[in-house]
This record gives sequence, structure tokens and C-alpha cells, in this order.
Amino acid sequence: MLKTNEICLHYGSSQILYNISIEAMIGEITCLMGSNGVGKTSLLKVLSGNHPSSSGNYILNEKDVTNFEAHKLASQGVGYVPQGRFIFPLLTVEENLMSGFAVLKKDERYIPKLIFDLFPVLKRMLSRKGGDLSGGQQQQLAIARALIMQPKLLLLDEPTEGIQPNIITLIGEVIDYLKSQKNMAIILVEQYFDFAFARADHIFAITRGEIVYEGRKAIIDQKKT
Amino acid sequence: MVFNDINYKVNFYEYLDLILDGLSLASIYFLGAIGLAITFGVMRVINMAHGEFIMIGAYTGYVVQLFIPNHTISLLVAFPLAFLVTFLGGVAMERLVIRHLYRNPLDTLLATFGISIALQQIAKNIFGTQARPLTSPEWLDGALVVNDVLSISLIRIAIFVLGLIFLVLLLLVMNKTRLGLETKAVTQNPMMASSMGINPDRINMLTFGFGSGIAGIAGVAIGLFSKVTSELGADYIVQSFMTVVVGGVGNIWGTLAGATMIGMLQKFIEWFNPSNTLAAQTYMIIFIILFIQFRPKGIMALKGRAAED
Repeated sequence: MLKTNEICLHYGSSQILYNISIEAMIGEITCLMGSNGVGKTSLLKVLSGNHPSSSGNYILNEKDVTNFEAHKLASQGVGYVPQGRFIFPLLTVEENLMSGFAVLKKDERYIPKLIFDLFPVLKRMLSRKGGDLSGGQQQQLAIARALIMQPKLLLLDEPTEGIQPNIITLIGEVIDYLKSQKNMAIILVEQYFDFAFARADHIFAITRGEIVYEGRKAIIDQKKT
Repeated sequence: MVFNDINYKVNFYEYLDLILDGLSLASIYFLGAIGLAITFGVMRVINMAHGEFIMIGAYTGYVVQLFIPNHTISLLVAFPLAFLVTFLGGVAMERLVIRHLYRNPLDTLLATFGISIALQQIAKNIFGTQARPLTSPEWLDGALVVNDVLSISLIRIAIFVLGLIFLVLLLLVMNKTRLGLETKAVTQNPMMASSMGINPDRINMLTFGFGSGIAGIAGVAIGLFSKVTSELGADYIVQSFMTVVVGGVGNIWGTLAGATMIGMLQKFIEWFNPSNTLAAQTYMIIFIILFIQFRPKGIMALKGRAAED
């Protein structure tokens, strides 16, 4: 589904990412792990089209989408849940969800019932301003908003950061449900190790902008026993 | 007793006359400023050439009258045509100039200031320095006479109605259409809007065109009661900026409140001090500087969590 070849990224003259090659499959959760400041979020910025890479290719669905703009990647099926959530603060919850209609055909532009089954709290909040929601509610809205776009690739950047435990459980269940549907590839960036490791299929560990370890969960489990 | 009663009535109607005068001036400032408020709110671009789009709109009205002698029909043609001409002008300016300077607000300020001067000179070259008439249709010439003290010229009522129409139209576009939703999303977070599949370049272009188009409409309206010259826009740009600053940026209601305040204020100051317009302008600017000290974000400042970014 997704494949990157030797992607590099510079902010000005300082290099952040070195020859990153990863892949992600439909129906799998691919985890990017690593401590603060190693370039996980920068990599997601490249994958979502919010920052151009300085070299390397990015292949999505067997199509070269290297350095496509964010809105073009969105219409190619990339859903992005950024770190810090970036809810539109003055739009209502409903309008936030509707912002994802831009990539849908006219007759698909409605909010599916599934969204409220996954995140019941949003149904009660539809007419509230996005900026007035709590952090946990905003995180749920950010994921729901990305799901509206019917993504083929879902990028989740630290979905548990600063969120209370019961909402983390809920978000975990949603991610498991999305995986079980086998219609999208999920890339999860997480520092909460247990949360990420428990549901990962494929793991990439990043240190100082380089992939230092890659492994499939099944093989790691085998080695442990 | 009787005299007192009459005096009281005369005073009442004089005040009413003043308020109505202020309202019609406010409608003009609203039309002039709303395009500016939208482009600044969405794109953070201060368009110094906004006044020249008002001027282009007025000249469009004048040119239409050269071809269509019937003043009513020519006006009906002039409004949409002025919108179209200035819309395209705005889109061209955004694509050719503004788009390349987004990263630095000061650059856009200087560039649009340069375009403003260039457009004024082009207008002088084409139409000369002499003022051109934009004649209103006869049915707008009269006045609604209530009594000897209070009479409202029909053209002022028409401009007030035009302002109302645009207020309603803008509220509908911003709150009920897909374009409005996408515009608001880009205003609040362009990067995230792009990740939701909204093309920010397209929204910026349309917004700039739309803002300029409304300036064109305002230009036709202004041309109806004042002479059309190449400096027409420059005369209104200061008040339009004051309206945006006082009202609060990027907010239709704020612009409405700002226009009402500036319009009323100007009429009241002129009423106290009818002979000296320069002094009146000075008082007004002093008032606005003081006002901004107390409400730096304007009348309609954002409230709630969303404002604390």
C-alpha cells in the first residue's frame, strides 16, 4: 500500500531524516517508535504532504506521489490525525467532520452512523465549537474527521498524548476495529510503548532520523519465547 | 407649551435625520470594508489596492452608461459587470503577485501599495483627470419627505438596502455553502484544511476575487452619489481600514459593527463641527486610537478557548 524509498528531509540546512525506507500494508498497523525529537512527526509530515522531502520516493497504491501537496494526497486517500489534533476551533463539531467532504463524491457527503458508534460523545457535541471541546474529545473528533474521508492510509500521530486513561482505551478499541475491517493501512506514531506494541504488526524504530530496527511483531514474539 | 412641544419634535427629527444619515454612510463603509475584512481574515494579506477596485467598479458603471443610455438598465448591467471585472482583477492580482509573497506580509503590503498607485495612473491615462459622472436613474433622484425637517434621499435608502442585501448574501455564503465552510477552515488552519483535501490556493484565489468583486459593487454604489475620479478609491480606503480595525478582523458582524460605529461617528462629528472637515477627521482618528487601546482586537473579538491560540 505505502512504500518509501530512502526519504531524506531537511529543515533549512539541518538534516532531520536519513534514508527512511518503510512500508505499510492494508489491514495492518505499522508502528513508528522512538524517543522525542528523532523525526517521527517529521516523517508523518512528509507522508501527509505537509513538508516536502529533499530526496527519495514515496509510493502510494503503486503510484509515485513524492512531494504531492497535502490536499492531493488527501484525495489519494491519506487521512491525517496530527499531533496536537488541529481541530478547527471556530467550526462546530459537525462542520469539522464535514471539512473532510472535500475528497468525497457528492452522493457520499454525509456523516456515516459508524462515526457515532465509534465515538458516541461526538453525537451529543455536534453543535458545539471544536475549540470548546476537552483534549480527549478533540482527539476523538480528529480521528473521526480523518475517517470521514474514507482513507486508505490513516496516519495517527501520538493519539494518546495527554489523554485520560478511559479515552485511551476507547481510542485503542477504535484502532483495533479499523484494523479488523481490513480496508486501510494504519501508521501509528506512539511513545506509549505498551499501547503501540500491543497492537503493532510491523515495527520501525527510529533514532536520530534513521531507521535502526525493523521487525514484524510475530517474529519478535517468537524470539521472546 | 406649544413652542416647547414643537421644539422637542424638531429636535427629535433632527436626531433621527442624523442617525439615518449615519446609517447610510455606514452601509457604504460596510460595502467598502467587507471585502477587505474577508481577504485579511482568510489570507492575512493587507490589500492596499482594495480602494482601486472600488474605483474600477465606479468606472465600470460609467463606461456601461456610455453604451446603455437608459439609466435603470445600465445600473442593472453595471452591478454584475463591475463585480465580474473586479473579481477577475482580484484573481489576476492574487495569481500574479500575492501568491508569491505570502511568506512576508510586509512584501504584500508594499506590492499592493505599488499596484494601487499604478492602477490610479492607468485610470488617469484612460479617463483623464476630469471627474466622470455616473448618473443615477431618475426614480432614485427624489427624496422620501417625512416632514420639513426630515427627508431621506432615495439614493441613500437604496444604498442601505444594497448593504443589507450583501450582509444577508455574505452570511448565507459563509454559513450555508461548501465554499463558506472551506473558507473558514482555511482561515483557521490552512495546513490542516489542506490535509482534509481542501485546496488552499483555490480558496485564497476565490476569496481574493470575491473580496475585490464586492469592492467593485461598492464602487458603483459610491459612484452614484459622488463623482468618479481616479482618486475615488483612495478617498474610501482609510475609512475602510478603520472599519476593519475597529470591527475586529475576519468577521462579518464585526465589520457591520465597525462600519456602523465609524459611519455614525463621522456624521456626529460633522454635525458638531460642520465647517471643518479636517478637524473632524482628526477627532475621528484620535477616537479610534483610544478605542484600540481598550479593545485591541476590535468590537467582535473572539471569545472562549478558541481565542487563546
